Amino acid sequence: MSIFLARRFLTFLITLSGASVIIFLLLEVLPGDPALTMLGVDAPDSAVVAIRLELGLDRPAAVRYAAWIAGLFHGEMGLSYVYKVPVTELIGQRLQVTLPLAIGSMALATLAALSLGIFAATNHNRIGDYGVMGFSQLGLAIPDFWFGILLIILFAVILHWLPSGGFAGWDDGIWRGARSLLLPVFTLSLSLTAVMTRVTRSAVLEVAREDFVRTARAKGLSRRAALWRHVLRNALVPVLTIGGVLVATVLTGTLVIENVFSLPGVGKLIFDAISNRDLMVVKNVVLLFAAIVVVVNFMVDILYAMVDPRIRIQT
Amino acid sequence: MALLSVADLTVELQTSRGMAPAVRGVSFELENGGTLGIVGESGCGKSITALAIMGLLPDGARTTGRVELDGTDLLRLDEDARCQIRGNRIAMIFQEPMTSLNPVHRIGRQIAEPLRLHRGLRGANARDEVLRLLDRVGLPDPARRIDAYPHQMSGGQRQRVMIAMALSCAPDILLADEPTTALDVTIQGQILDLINELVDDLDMGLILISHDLGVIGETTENIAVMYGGTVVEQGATSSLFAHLAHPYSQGLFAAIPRLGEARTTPLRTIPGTVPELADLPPGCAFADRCAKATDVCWRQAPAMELTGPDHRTACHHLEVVA
Repeated sequence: MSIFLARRFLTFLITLSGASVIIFLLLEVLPGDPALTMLGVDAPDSAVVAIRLELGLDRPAAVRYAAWIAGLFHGEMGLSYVYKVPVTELIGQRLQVTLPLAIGSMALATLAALSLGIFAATNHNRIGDYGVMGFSQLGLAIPDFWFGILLIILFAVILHWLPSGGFAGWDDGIWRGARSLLLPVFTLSLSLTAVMTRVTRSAVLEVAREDFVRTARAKGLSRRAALWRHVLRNALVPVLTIGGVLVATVLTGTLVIENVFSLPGVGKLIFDAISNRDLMVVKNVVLLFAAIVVVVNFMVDILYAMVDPRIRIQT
Repeated sequence: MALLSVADLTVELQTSRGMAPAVRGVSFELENGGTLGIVGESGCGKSITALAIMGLLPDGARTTGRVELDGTDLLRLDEDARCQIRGNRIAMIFQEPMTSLNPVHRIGRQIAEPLRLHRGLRGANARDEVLRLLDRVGLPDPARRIDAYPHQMSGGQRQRVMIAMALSCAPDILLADEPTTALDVTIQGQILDLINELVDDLDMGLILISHDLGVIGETTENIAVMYGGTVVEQGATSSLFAHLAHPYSQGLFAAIPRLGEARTTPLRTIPGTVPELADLPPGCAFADRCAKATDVCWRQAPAMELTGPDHRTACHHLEVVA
């Protein structure tokens, strides 16, 4: 086990160093000088040079890359060009919005997808199955931002039940903060639910045809008992796989959703940072997203082994 | 009264080309502690007959006729009542021990399941009973194997586990659908011996399904030969082997390779293939592969006729026996 963990940690470091190089190089070739963006195109040359010196942009790329990585090992991400505060501080604040949004969406989608997928599979080729599949088709076809706008029109503009956007913060109690995240979570989970429902349904249908399910029924288990005791656990593996992949979708989804609902989250942070050429923020947030995706998929691998004893952890 | 009495059983299955008859008018009886072999090629309806007795036919199947256990028609019982019988009074073991066990549960738990369901055994009581069963089916070192997963066992061991599971509630009838087909030849004999021994000891009825007339002949007191969804010949094993009356049974018997034959002797086969269920001819299902077939065979299905003591055959061209 410890060898396994050591290996996975090494893979983690290699993946992230690869990602960091790509991110850094991409930002190098990205048109738009941060100094010019900050000062405006009419700024005198002397001011631009001064800013470039202040930001350390006059140093060679290799030196700047090394400084960035060395900083990360000390838990430092540098100063934001625009906000003039440490990037770690910015990300820390913004995660208070984005983490609940992402985790909430994943949790809601998983719960809904498992229920709908199992329901559809047990009503295979009947009206309930067609209904769920139709809903899932819609969920895949509807763009997130548009669905979000529809929800705002209904629940905020017409019914006045929920705020149309903005974040109330966690200081006035959990409910006030959660209230402002309800519509965003619902919006973001729509397409996730649609994808996971399909995977759950087909996994349950496939496992239900296995010989061991017939054995379970031959023991005297009812259809329902055979489903709960013998089908579901075997059907979980493909659902876990797609869940791990969807974490990346959720993170990129926050970019769109946080803009639609004007939420001060990490997605909005990186969106603004790109427009402002706040490269210090951009590269660190992208690297953070990459790290989250790698870590989640590592956890998925461990879950595999817990669900299916045939999948041994490779040492 | 017979323990199990199957009368005029007909099963239609849903196929892409509509309802197709998989079993047509099958009748047989099984006495208390009796043994019956059902033999035939793949697709002759022998497994579907077994699944109809269990009540585990695929969705959309239509069944008519009667399947009576101690006089109760199982086909008229609701699903809950059938669940009470499955695994309790009638148990079944399947062909593929590799896929018939759930890969994510330990075998002890899987064997304990019918015990909990039908006997209410739990915890240590269930575990003790499972250990006893594993020992009974000859699995070495049960105390260690009880916590193994199926993938950690060999095919023969898994089939022993399947048998232990089927035996757990001391059923009146054991249905064994090709229990040795997927196993190595050396293991096949061991598993058949085990089944025979258990059937004797526990006084269970046995219905053994196989494509191998040799296996059936050695194991069961009675035989039913199936072809194209119907029984073409049935009776006491001794009577049947004394005089195989149906051309299909004769072909099946001739197809068994024998030791001591010259190397150059070609394997005997029955020409042609099993008919598609959806387009069975109106007459005898075997007509298009039968050397003796005449016009009447195509037009009219033959009825069962007595062809020996406790031995009946359905064929238009029976040789007259004295």
